[in-house]
Amino acid sequence: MAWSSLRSIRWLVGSPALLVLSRQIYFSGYQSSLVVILAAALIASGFVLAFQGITGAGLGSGAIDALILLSVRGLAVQIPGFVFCARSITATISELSLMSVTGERQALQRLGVDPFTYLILPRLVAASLAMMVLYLVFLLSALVSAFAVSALVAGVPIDLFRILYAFETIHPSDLAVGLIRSALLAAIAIVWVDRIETRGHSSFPQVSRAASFGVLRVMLIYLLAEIVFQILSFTVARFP
Amino acid sequence: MSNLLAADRSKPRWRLDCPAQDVGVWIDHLCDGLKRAGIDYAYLSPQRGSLLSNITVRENLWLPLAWRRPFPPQRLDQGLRDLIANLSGVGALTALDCDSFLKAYPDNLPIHQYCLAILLRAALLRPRWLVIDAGWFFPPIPGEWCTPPALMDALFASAAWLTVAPHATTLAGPWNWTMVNCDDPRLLSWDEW
Repeated sequence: MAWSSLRSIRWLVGSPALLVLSRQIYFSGYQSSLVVILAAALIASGFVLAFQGITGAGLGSGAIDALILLSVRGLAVQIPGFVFCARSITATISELSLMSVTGERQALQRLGVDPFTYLILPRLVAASLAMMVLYLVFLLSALVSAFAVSALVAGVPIDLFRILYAFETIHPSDLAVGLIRSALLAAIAIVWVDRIETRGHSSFPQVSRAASFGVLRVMLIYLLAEIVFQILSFTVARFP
Repeated sequence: MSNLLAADRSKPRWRLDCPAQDVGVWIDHLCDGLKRAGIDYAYLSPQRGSLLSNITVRENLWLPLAWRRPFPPQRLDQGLRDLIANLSGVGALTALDCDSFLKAYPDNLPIHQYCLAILLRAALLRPRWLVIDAGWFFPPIPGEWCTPPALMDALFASAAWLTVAPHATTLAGPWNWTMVNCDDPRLLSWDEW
């Protein structure tokens, strides 16, 4: 098992699987980043405007803390996660199901190429990396947008010291847990797609249906995992 | 080139007869057995799913090579150009634009170039055994070969062929086939061939 995994990783470097990996990073990470940036900006702006409406003041330190906590512990995992489901999971289910229907997956096996190592492993690694980067992109975008909207609405000047202070309030353990959750959820989603969503299809019309239902199920898994995590982290914080 | 094109029919050409519904199972079994035994083999099937449709022909040729041993893509290009240059006088290769052929996606290729890509992929693997789906020997257009027999002979002169065919199927071509039954004990141990 260990030798097989080592061989898979060795094969991943300098092989066609590297192309699969780089394409998946481009697709799931680079191409999705604009949507994540805009979503983060929209959410942070809404947060600042609501805060402004309630307190009549600009972005104070309490508001910064709340925004950071909300982003680091929840939204920066969940929003990129949904974008990942909507784009990458749909595409992955369609692509892998089509390969099963047309017999391409079987042809790979007959050539002696392990479909998991060529088709799934690079996608899993790439999706995990992309989701970690999108987590950081969301965080950065949310903070910058919050300060920008605060300056525009309440006339609070953008102060470098306040921005640095905002980043300093991010707890390293929260950041690490957020990054791990992002990567783990993406990996679980890809394995789920491979094991459950793309097997047993025998005709082309089943592919679009499989993609639609598959995305729904993966989103539910995402939400359930997040709910469990939030309950656990709340319990741990309350009863250490 | 003359050496390459000299048909060497001294290598055995086996034909495994089985019920039509079991052809796929037998191909899976044979490929799996050869892989486990560590014997270099290749597989030929004319079906559309034989090449991955979402990558180019070049990547399709590179994939099984790189799986078996580290194989830089530059070596693939050189090996392919040498192979195609050596075979330039044979049938399907006469008017081949190598660059556009390698950059094309399999679904955009006409059937004879699709088969050629499968054939080149198998040839690059330098197999000792060649597992063939019997459909390979049925010309898509009656009277027109998907792959000219001379090309098959030239590329796989040193390989033993094993074609899996449904009962009572007549395989076209100039080859003399030696029959193997499904219960042949040699199918369980590759050392006995």
